Amino acid sequence: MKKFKILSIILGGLFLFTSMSYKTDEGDKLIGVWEPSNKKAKIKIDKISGKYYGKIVWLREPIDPVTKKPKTDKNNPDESLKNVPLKGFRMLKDFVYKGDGEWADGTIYDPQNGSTYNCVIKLRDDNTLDIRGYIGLKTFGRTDVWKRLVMKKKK
Amino acid sequence: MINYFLKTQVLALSVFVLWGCGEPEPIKTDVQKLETIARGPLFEGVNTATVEFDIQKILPNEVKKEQLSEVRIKSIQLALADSAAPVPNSFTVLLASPNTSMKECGFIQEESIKSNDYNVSLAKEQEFLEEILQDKMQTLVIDFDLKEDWFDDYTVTAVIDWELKFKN
Amino acid sequence: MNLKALMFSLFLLPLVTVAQEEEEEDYSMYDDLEYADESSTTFVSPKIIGLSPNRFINVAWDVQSPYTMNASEINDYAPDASWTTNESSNVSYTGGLRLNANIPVVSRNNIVWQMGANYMNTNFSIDEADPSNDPILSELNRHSLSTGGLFTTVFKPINDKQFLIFQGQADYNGNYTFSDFHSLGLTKYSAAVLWGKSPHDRLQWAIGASRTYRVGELNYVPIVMYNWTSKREKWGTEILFPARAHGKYWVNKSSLIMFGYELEGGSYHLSGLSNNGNSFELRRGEVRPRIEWNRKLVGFFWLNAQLGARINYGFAYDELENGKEFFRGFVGDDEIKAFSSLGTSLYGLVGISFVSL
Repeated sequence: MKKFKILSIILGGLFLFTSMSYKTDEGDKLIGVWEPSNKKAKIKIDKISGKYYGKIVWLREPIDPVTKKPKTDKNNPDESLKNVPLKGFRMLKDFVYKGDGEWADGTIYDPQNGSTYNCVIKLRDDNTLDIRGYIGLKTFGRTDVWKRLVMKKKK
Repeated sequence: MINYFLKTQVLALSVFVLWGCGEPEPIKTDVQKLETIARGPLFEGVNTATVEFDIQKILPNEVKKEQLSEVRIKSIQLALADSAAPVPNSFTVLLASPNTSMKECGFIQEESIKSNDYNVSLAKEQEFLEEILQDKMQTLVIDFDLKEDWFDDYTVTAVIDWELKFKN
Repeated sequence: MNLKALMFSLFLLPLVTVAQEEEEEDYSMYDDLEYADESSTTFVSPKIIGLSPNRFINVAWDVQSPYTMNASEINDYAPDASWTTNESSNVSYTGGLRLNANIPVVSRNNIVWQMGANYMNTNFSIDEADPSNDPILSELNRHSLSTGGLFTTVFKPINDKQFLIFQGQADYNGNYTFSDFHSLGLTKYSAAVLWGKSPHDRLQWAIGASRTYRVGELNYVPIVMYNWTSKREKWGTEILFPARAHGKYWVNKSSLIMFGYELEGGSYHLSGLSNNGNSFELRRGEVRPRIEWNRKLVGFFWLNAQLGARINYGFAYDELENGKEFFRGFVGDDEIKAFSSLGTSLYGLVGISFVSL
């Protein structure tokens, strides 16, 4: 009986979901799960109140080798936030779609050193992002290549 | 895909405005109760519940949110609306607005959740709050790390105790 | 088959084939995703965790405590010959401005190419230096020593572990002024190439060779790089031997203490003592054991303060025929034109840098 209830919820939600999904914003191409070139994490980008945000949803090494506990944001400049779990941490914030496959005005956070950088994202193709974090001027920055991840196709 | 759903419940029971000489004056309000919702079905891992609200609704009529100054959060208490819903590993509470950057307000660790303590450990630095609350609207974001799948909507209630002051 | 898998098989999969690809994500198992097209190549990072801040722009002032400087007469000496003091004086002030800019031209995960410029000035205030009796000391007193240089560095990852570093530098050294430049033919060229590995995020090492003027005269030396940070990210080393070697301790994320040494020097054209197209060159090299404090000021601006000793390594003079450089090396017996000896002094340096972490 419970399964039928769940099924009806999913069907209802699914109908609503698919009927809305055909009219997606051009900027929504950013939405999805992405992997940086170092393959140490997977970042899910979603849209909240019209802006794009990315959170860490998977870590290759989720356990801190020193504490033997799940990794936290130990380098956060605010001492009181050093125990925020790294899994779920929003490292991309406040991106606004500017058109022509570019999202700007956002920031990227590097948990390895606790620094927040200005950031611009360019869609190289549907499944590849050029993400440039920089300090003030784009010259003082570095570009990484992120690849889109999708659900495994059933064989 | 998690959609965000707006459902704000504001309780503003009493307001006292104390007069000072040029210094920000405190506003006494009751706690604000907000219900953040993540649309199901949700899967194991990190999910997000959000709600948009306007802080103006809990302010007295004579105070505009643009006048807010020296804003702090005294406490945030979280609760799951559905007692059958899976308890997450952790919560992270964030605030955002259209013209400011999203900021972490606090979090609840796994150890606290296990001991049934849903009081949010708050960020010490809260200077960002003033700018967020003065913006045209605010979004409360709660990220939670689910241990198992959940096929329904997931509602997290946040009770926020603000410390608000305003300047004339 | 569990319920979730059943739901996906029956309903989600057929529907998502007509929806956009990002809607196909299965958020339940992030470790079971695949690439939408192909994987990106992983390249080793030029940085490790806990490396000292990389200075894009640096402005610093260096000053030394008073010391005695002796100089021989200008003559020809075999490198191992004894010499006697001809000139002797107290150097009451040695110091000057240091500017450095290191700008990324290309900075991607598969290559980092930086171009930079540096300017370093050293003023000597030598008491009672008499041009007729003390030609060398008077020449040093007359104009400060300046170094103006351009350099480039390329970090080229080979794969996710190995990398190559190329560095080239052109320095224009001497007691010139901006209104009295020397011949560009006197420019000194240095270069280094390294191959290395980064076995994990907290270690990178490399070996290579360099052509360098770091201790004054031209030399070709092997180099070893060893940058390491402890598991707790507190202690570590930053070594580029023989040029410099430091231990480090991160007090917190805004404060770094380093302790070690650096070799510093160059070959400087002294115009007042150069004749007939020959270049009279000061081969200056010094060892600076020191303690260094790096402290975050605001944002990406950091304070850099050093306190240590300046120990003379070499302060000799060569006369380059028609300005033509030669290689003496550690065992060569080419004649030296004159010597100086410098007493050890304390030194301090204070600078502000615009950095990347």
